[in-house]
Amino acid sequence: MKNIHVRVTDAVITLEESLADLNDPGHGAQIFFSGVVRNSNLGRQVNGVSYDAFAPLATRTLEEICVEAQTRWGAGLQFRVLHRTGFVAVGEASLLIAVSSPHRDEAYKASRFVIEQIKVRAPIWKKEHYLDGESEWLKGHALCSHGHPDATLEVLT
Amino acid sequence: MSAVKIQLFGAFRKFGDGVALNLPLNAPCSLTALKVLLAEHLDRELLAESAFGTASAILGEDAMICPGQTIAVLPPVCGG
Repeated sequence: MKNIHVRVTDAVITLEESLADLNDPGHGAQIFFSGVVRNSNLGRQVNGVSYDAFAPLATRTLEEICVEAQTRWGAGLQFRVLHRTGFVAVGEASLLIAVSSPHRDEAYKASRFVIEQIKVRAPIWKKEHYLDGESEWLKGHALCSHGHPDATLEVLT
Repeated sequence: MSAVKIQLFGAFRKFGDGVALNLPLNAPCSLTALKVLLAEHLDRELLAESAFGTASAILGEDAMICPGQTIAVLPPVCGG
């Protein structure tokens, strides 16, 4: 898949490794979005999140989302998307979306599209771990076979 | 006896051995019929909100499941 690099990984995510994939000299914009585990949710103190994924389907879904973004904002856009599995401590990155494009407008829009689509389409789940020792799988969005391609149209048009 | 292997993820990990559930199945059946069988083994409320998939696609409601096949039960997702 041209200009699309995605990975579901249990390795620590770093910004540096994504930079090598964004290398088009005709591109004047690079957007990096990082999802980070925060220390509280719904009034409960969190010390980390465990991510579970159906890795082969999640990888395929991330690729499909990036292809859709290229269709909308340009075939030449470059993407690097990394999503963690396993335990991720507060302050660590669970997700990195890197987008490169000729101009900033399409990079911002494509980046926002990718994260919103991941949240409703990628077969990935998270279990929060709390300071009181309890843990809980978070409620999410039901999957369907046709995806949710219009989920972010309001913010992108 | 033949079976279908159901891979478990997220909140379904507390069932079976935490990885998969082998459900006896001697003949092809619809996904709808499979859900009825699975309701005896998994949380029914969560099952009602869940999809099914393979390594390459989400299965439609009209999918047929065959003995020996491996599929995944996919509860509502929350990546990111």
